Formats: sequence, C-alpha cells, structure tokens
Amino acid sequence: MTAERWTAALLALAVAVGWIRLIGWRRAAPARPPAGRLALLLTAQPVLAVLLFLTLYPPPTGPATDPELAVATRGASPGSADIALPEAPRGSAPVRVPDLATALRAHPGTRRIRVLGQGLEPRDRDVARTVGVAFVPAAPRPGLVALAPPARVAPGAPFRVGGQVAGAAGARVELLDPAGRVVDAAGAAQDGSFVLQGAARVPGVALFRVRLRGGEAAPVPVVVTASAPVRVLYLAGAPGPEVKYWRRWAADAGIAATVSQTAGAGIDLGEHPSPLTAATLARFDLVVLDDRRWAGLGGGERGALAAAVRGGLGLLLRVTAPLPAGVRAGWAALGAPVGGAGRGGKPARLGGADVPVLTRWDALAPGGVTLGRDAAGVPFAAWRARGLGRVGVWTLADAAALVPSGHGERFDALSADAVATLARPAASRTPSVSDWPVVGERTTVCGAGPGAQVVAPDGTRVALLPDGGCAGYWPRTAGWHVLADGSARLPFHVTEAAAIPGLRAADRRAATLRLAAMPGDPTPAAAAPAPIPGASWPWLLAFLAVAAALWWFERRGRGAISVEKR
Amino acid sequence: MSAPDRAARWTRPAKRRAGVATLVIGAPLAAATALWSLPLAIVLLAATAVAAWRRARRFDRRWLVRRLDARHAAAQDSADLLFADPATLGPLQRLQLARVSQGIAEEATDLADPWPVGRIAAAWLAAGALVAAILLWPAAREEPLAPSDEGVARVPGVPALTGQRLRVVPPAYTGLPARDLATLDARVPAGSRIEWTLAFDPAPAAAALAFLDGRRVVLAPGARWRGATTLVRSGLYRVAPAGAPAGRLHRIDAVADQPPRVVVRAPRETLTLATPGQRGWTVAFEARDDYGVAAAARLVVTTASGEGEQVTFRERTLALSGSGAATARRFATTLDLPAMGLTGAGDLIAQLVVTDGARHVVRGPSLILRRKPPQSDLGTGLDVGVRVALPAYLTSQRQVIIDAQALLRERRRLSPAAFLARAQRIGDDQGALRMRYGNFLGGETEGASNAMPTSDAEAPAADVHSPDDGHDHGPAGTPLVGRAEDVLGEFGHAHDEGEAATLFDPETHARLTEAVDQMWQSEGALRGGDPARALPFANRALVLIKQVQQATRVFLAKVGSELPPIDAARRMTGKRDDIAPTMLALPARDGDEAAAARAWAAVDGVGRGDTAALDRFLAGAAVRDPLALAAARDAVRRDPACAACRARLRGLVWEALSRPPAGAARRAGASAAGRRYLDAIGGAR
Repeated sequence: MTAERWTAALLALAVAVGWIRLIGWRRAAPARPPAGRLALLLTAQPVLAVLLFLTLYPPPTGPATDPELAVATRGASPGSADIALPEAPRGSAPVRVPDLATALRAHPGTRRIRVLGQGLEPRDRDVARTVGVAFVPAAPRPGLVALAPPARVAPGAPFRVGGQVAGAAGARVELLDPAGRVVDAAGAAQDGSFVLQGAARVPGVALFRVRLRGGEAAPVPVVVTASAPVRVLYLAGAPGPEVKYWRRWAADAGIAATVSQTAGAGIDLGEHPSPLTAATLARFDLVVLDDRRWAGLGGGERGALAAAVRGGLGLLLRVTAPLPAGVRAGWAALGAPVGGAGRGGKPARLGGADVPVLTRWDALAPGGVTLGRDAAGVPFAAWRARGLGRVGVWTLADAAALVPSGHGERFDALSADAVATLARPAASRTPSVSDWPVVGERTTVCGAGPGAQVVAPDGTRVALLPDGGCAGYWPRTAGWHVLADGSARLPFHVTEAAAIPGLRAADRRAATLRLAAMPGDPTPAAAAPAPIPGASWPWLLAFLAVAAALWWFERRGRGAISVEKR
Repeated sequence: MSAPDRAARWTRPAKRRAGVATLVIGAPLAAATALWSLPLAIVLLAATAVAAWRRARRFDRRWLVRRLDARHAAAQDSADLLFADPATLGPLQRLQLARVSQGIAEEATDLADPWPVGRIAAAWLAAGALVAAILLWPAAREEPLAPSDEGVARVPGVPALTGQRLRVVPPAYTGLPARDLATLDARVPAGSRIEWTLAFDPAPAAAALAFLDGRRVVLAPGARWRGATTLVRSGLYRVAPAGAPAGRLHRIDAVADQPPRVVVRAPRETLTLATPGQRGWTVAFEARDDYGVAAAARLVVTTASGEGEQVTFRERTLALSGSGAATARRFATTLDLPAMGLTGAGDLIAQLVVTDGARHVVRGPSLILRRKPPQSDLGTGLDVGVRVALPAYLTSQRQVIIDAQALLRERRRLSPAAFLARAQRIGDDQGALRMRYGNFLGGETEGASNAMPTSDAEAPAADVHSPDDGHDHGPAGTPLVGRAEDVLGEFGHAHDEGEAATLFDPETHARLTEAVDQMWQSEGALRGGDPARALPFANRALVLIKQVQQATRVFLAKVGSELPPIDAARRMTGKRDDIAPTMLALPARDGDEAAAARAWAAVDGVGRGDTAALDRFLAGAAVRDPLALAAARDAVRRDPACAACRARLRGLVWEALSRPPAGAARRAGASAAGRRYLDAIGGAR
C-alpha cells in the first residue's frame, strides 16, 4: 500500500503543478484565451492522474469463488483436473502451470487442493503445506516400491538389502553383484517385503543391483570403507576353539584384540588389564566376557563395567553353560536380555545339511533386539541398549565348529556382525546425504564441514553452502559423486530418475499422503487471500485516449493563440 | 641348267613340305594353348616356326645326293656328280654324269618326304583335346571368403579387412577333420594348426596378426593374405594391416587335451579277498578320453608273496588290447594266479596304465586281491615273534678274515694258480658283502643279496655254509631275507648318491662309508691274489662294522612342531610360577587386499584410479577366463571413455577380487539429541 500511496501523492503533486502552470500561462498570455478552455484543461489534469493510477493499480475484481483446486500430477487421468503440473500427462487439465506455487498465485483464495495422480513432486511439497491437501492414492504400481541400500560396510563384511515389492507377493527377488552374478535370491513375503544378503569385498564402492524376476531392476550402491580398528577385550574363562578361531578372525579382520584366557590355578594366558576399571575400560570399544570369567570378577570390576557400558562401551556376554541364577541376575542387572529357564543345550541349525548343528543355550529373554537367528528363525543372540552402550548376549556354545567344517566365512560374519553391532559408536559423525539422490533434483547433504565440495563423475567440483547444517546440491549427471569434506571422502551414488520409477512413485505417494494427513490449519495469508487485481488494460486505453485528446485540444489551442498573436 | 638350280628343283618342294608339315603340327597346339595363356602360345608358335625352319634347312644338297642315291638306281651312286661343278670333273666323271643325268631327270620327279598325315592328325586331335580340356577343366576356383566385420568404419584409401577364412587343422591324434570357419574366433584343440586367409581392400603394405600377449603372425602378401601358426595356448588377437585403425579383438581358445580317466568295472571293490582254491581273477577297466585311448595298454601286476617279514615283490607287465570305441575303451583280462606267483598267502595288485594320443600316461586305481595266510597254529598273537628269519646268504666280514688267514697258512702247500683262485673266491665274497653295505648306503645294487648290514654278528665265526650242513637255506634264487628291511628305498630319502641318504645319522653314515671303503681295498687285494695285504683292511672293516652295529639307530627326519624340552625338574611338581602368560603370535594372513583395493579403485567408477596398479593386479589374478579379462582391459585401454567397456571390465575385476575376512565397521554415533535420549533412558533404569 505504501507504493500506491506514494504513487497517488506523486500524481496529486503533478496535478497541482499542472494547475499552477496552466494558470501562470494564462496570466502571462498576451491575449486571454477563453475561460471555458482553461476550465477544460484544469479538469483534465486530475482525470488523467486518476486514469494513470488506475492503470497502475487496477481495482480488484473480488475474491475467487471456488476454494478447491484439482491439481493433476504424474499419472493423472485426462480431463479431470483444473490445472496440470509439468509432470502430468498431456490433456489432463486445460491449464498447465510450471509449479504448484504459480497455480496457487493464479488462484488466490484456494483453500484446498485435490491431488490427482501419483502425488506431488518434492518441488511442490513446501507450497502444499500452505493449503489443505486431499489425496486418494491409486493402487501402487507393481514392482519395487522400497529399497534400503546398506549404510557403510566394512571390507569383506556381509550386508543386507531390504525392500518391498508391490503387487507381486511371493515374487522372486535377486541381488546381483557388480559382475552381474546372482549372489542371493529370496521370495518376497506376503506383504512384499524381502531381505537379501550380499558380501562386500575390498574398500571402495560397488554397484549391486536388485532385480525383480521378470521385472525391473534397481541399483544398490554399496560403499565399503575401512574404519579405525575396533578395540576388543576378549576375556575367556578357558582356552578353547571359540577363542582360537575368534582370535584368528580378529587378526585377519584388523580388529585390535586383546585376548585373555585363564588356564586354571591363576594362570592367565594373554595380557589384559587387571583389574577392570573405568580408565582401563575406556581403552576398549567392546568387552567379550563369558559366564566363567564373570564369576571371577569382583564387585568393583562389575560396577566399572556397568558404568562403562552406560558411557558407550559394548559388552557381549557369552553363555558357555547353563547359567547359574547369580550370574543371570548379575547380567540382567547390567541390562542384558538374559532369562530363560531351560537348562540344556538346544540344537541350532544355521544352514543346510552340510553346516554342522550347533548348540544353543536357552538363556535369552524376550525384549532384546535380535542379533542373530538360526535357520528356523529362533534367535541365538540379542542385545539391548543401556545408556550409550549396548549389552548383548550370545548363546551359541560352539560356533567355532563352523570353521573346521568349511564354513569359516559364516563364523567370520557372525563375529563381525556382533562386533559391529555392539562396539562403541564412532566418535565423529560423518556427513550424510539424503536417500536416493536423483539427477536434477535437490539432494540434501547434512553435517558437512565448511569448505566441503561435491566432485561429480566428470570431475567438476561444486562447493557446498551449508545453511543450518545442511546444504542443497543439484546433481547434473548420474554416477558416483564424492563428498569431499576436509580429508574425508564420502562417495554417494546419483541415479537417473528413470532408473527407479517405482521408488520415486512410492516416495511421491508417501509424501503426499503425509501432507494430506497433516491437520488443516491454513496459514493466515491463505485465510484472508489477497484480492485478485483486475485487468489494467481498459484503464490504460482510457488514459491514452484522454491524453491524446487533451494533447490535440491543447495543440489546437496553441495554434489559435499563435494565429491570434499575428 | 646349273647345278644349284638342278638341286633346287628337288630340295625346294621338300623344304616347303617339311616346313609346312611342322607348322601344321605345331600351330594348332600353340593356338590351343592360347586359350589358356597367350604368352605361352606366342612362345610355342615361335618355337614351331624355328623348328619348321630348322627342319626345312636339313633338306640341302647332301640330303638330295643321299636321297637320289638311295632311291634311284639310275643314279648309280653318282648323284653328287649332278651337282658338282662341271669344270672340276674329269672326263670319266663327265661321261658318267651324262649317263646318269638323263635317267635321273626322267625318273626322279618328287623326292620330298610324304606328308606326315598321321602326325598331323595326331597333332590336331591333341590340339582339339587340349582345347576341350582347357575349356572343360573344372576351374580351380578359390572358395569365396566370408565377409568380415571388424567394427571399424570404412575409410576410403585405408586398408580394411574385407574377407576372412580360418582353417583349423587339429593334431593328427585327435582324428578330427580340418575345417574352415567363417569367423576369426574359434575354439580349437591345443596344438592345432591355424591358417588364416584374409583379403584386404585396398591392399596394405604389410599385415600381421597381433596377439595381445605379444605373439605376432606375419601375413604373406598376395591377393589373399595368408598366415599360419600352431596354437599352443589360447590368445586374443586382432588383424593389423599396416596403416589401419585397430579392429575388433578375436579370440582363439586352445582346448587342452584331457588325460584319460580309468574307471574300474570289475571287481566292485578295491580290495578283494581270494576265495579258497581261486585260480583266476578277472579285472575289467574302462578308459575314457576326449579323443581316444590307445588300444594297447599295460597292466602292471605286482605280486607280493610270502608272510611277515619274508615278503617278496615281483612286478610283471602284461599287454592288454582294448575293445570298443576309441573314446571309451574297455580292457579286461583274467589273471592266472599261480602263473603270477600267488600260490600261498599274499597280495596281487593290478593297475592299468593307459595312454592317449597326446601322450598322457595315466595309471588307474590299484586293485588288490588278497589271499590271507592260514591261521597260525599257536593262535597266541606271537606268530610274528616266532617266525624264523633266515640268515643272509652272505659270507660275513669275519668269515672273510678267517678265510684269508687260512689261505695264508696254506700258501706253501698250494700252487700259485690255486692260491690265486682261492684268493679270488674270497675276494668275491668280500665284494658281495661290500655291495650289500653299499646298497644300504644308497648305492647301486649290483645284484647283491639283501642281508641286514649287521647280520654278520649273529653269524658264527666258523659257520661255513654248504648245501648239506643240516639246515635250510631257503629256496635258491629267491631272496627271502632282508627285503622287508629295505627301508632306505621305501622310507628314506635315497638320492642318487649315497652321501645324501638320510637313513643313518651322520656319524654312523660316515663309519659305514669308511667300512665300505676298507672292504673295497680288501677286495682289491684279494682279487689281486694278495691276502696278506688285504687283511689289515678287512680287519679295519670288521671293527668299523662292529661300531656301526653297536651304534646303529636308524631314524627318519620328520617335519613337524618342535616342542620345547620338558623341564624335568619342574615336571609333576605342580609349580606354576614363572610360566610366561603369553600366547604365540598369530602368523600373518597372506593376501594383499591393498593391491586389490587399488586395482578396484581404478575401475569402480569413482574418479580416476591407478591403472598401473590395475595391470599389476590383473597380471597375477587367478580368474576363470583370463582372456575375457585381457580383452576387457584392452578395450578400456583403447577407449577410456567407453562406459560399457568399463562396466564389463568392472564386472570381471570384481570376479577376480577375493573376499577378505569380514571386517567390522563401527556404527554411527548418535546425534546430540540422540545421546541425550539414550542417556535419559539409560539413567532411568
């Protein structure tokens, strides 16, 4: 309104100046023109000013009558909507707008939008929060609708890829390695979900693929990085194959292991800090302890252990025999999911007929997070969070039997899984990149330090400008990008949108459903919508016509004056 | 009429006819050859003309004189007068000339040879046949070459491969026919001869087949370029005409010959127990091979007869001929057990040895027929202990000394010849004994018997054996004794030279060697008829043997853990102090993951990696198909921007990567809010 007032004031001033000039002219004129002429000229000044003002600020036409707008998005049926977003198919609406914000500006007073089709693109979601959203999703397109690639994987470690297929319960889903070979296959469950398992190799990146048998395939980017070695204190109550093979695995996998095993009569093979105190436990990320060793710990050591776990230390409690009530109570006090009344060992099959049958002590209490389960789905290890740390219970008595029977990789995977799950978390937080970056769309990079850059596959570097911890990045090409943050290199994979249509459709659908589920509290701006400005061209025409007529009239009058002068 | 004119009257028609006849004979042949080769026809025609001229020239005056004299009696052998210069003739000659000239002029009208009608007809017939043959001869047309596709754009003026043919001539032993292939990629038996026939347009200055591993086959230029090689190992190559861009890689796989596989068809079990009274044993084998098993095979039959320590081995080789197809031959025979020497208890071991065309010699599984010994009468488990080991059939060293001393005593009563003969007999004994000891040191056998080296101690000093001395000597010729103790050959490391035998400890070995040396000297002196000189050596040898006998501890070097010596003072006392609480360090795992990671970084798609590291890794990588890997690497090297090539190489390198032991990654730390939350729930418990 300020601009309008300023304009009005300027115009009023111009009218006043015009009047004074006209009157001054008349006085200075040798032959006085007729008074009617002066009156006409004086009258014309405000008329022109008003017309010019109305050209600039045409009077509003009044608020929109229809508060609901039907918006066609990707996959909308033709002819059903008021406006169409760019992704909508041709002919779905009479008017096509570049984005939802433009549509809302063109239709002020819109209170609700009715979304037709698959759902809103990320570009329109922020704007859609200002209005109510109604969305009745169609049935999801058959195919892959969810896929969770693994987070960073250690070299050689197994990883899991979870996902979901729609419209194809029981479909065969395969995991293909970079060489194109099927490394795992599973049937989708009743709800379409599946979990596939692969194995990483050397540090670097690898592009696996999940393929729906007879259908689409989606890339699974796997980033394999070697992190700082995990420091493990392994306290065994007696020498045995478990310790032997665990030690072998730890040495091979680059674990900084301190192993101690008691040989009876006070003989302790290996070196370990004794007694366990807060200071000594701070030097380790994980303590592996069995029931015999626990029985030998003093009260102070147990207290230090519990405190260290609360501070982030991982603790894996191995059951090597039916647990005495005292040990069970002590472990339960630590927060371990230990319980179970069974006293004997039960068979645990981890695989097919060639895998030896292991022994599982029935000592797990329900309520823990399962760390491992056998082929029948019975958990044999579980953990619980306790403060910043985690306490796990391991009930397999003879997992080492896997190694001499030719299944060393399975033993390694079990050990690696336990260590990776329970060990103290990394101290420094690595930057994160939003899921499924897509070419041409905003990718969010959070947690990157100042000066972080993204290096595209073609070598171009883009500096990130973090705003509130996160920065936006618009990839131009598909492929492996690298987030260079200081000396750290975090690769992430950018996909072509066409490569993951199912995931994208599912994402649109879920996001739009979330918008629709939001409570309808339109913002005040939407409650009192700005009046629609009227058309300014009639006023401009009138202004031009009056100005032209006045110019002609004044010209003619001046001519008459000059004639009169002569 | 002058003499030349007169001569020409006869010679000219003769010349004409001879020349024309020659031309008529030669010309059609020359003309016929014109159909085949115009230059040859011209040469032939010229040769015909020369021949005609030369033939016409033969009809000169001398020919005319001879012809007139021969044909016409009227000439009266005076035809030469007709053509002589009248001025040189005497009166008598002139008179004779006048006589004969009249008759000749009347008689001799045509002296020329008749037309050689037969020859002319034959020539024309031959010419006709030649024409027909040239026209109807099946043209030795070369097979058209197969079109080629090298995957490079044709540029005018740049040599490009337009046609190709690959001829594969497998080795003769495979029995496969030679075949022509339209492609340049092939799978051929190893050792095949490969012949390329290629066509280029335009023709290059030179061309070769460049193998990726550096081999080159230079093509011989021509309308069709040819090259050949004998393929020993698989390879990737490209056709490389000079001045042309590199084309597609071609691949030739050499399929190695598989050794034959021998399957036992009968008997069912490896170990068969002989039934009482069994006299024959049927064995049947089947040998399979990819190309063919030689029809002749050997069956090695080893008979181990005897019991306990008196087991003798005898090996025989029987020739078997197989039946059935060459790729699956069946060999069967029935062994006659008594003929094989298995009369009593013992084992008969049969093993088939087959060969194939590639000279693979394969020994099949051993089949054993065992005949158990009859139950011992004692039945106390002591049968081994009471079994009699016959003494060695050797004169002992002590006996040699006694004999030599006796010989010296009897020297005066003996003639020199008898003395020498007896000395040499003792020398023979000494030699046999020396060879027996030498045998034990790993030396050559030289046909000596197998007695224990130390058995002479048990032999009584005066034990002179004779066939009728009251005890059994065992069957003659069959060395029953000592073979079971032939441990050096069986268990020890009997190298070619005795010095390296590891049966004895070094000291014993040295003593034994010295003893053999002394025996050698003793033997030499005895054979030379000088027992007195031999005695010191023989005595020294006896002393050494006695030392060896007392010191002998035969041992075999073992490989294994070397345990620390047991502390006897501490043993069984229960004291545990000063026990070092250390564990043995684990040996490092072999495997270079860093090199593999560097190689993978060169292809994984993030940035640009170290291609040299990739090449180093690929050179040592154990992969299923190295050629595919080499081809993919070459494609990327040639076109680094080719995304599909990179993807293919990436897949192959991934296959070459081994999986390191599963590592453990740290989980991501909680955010500040997460820490507060975890602290809160952790503290509440």
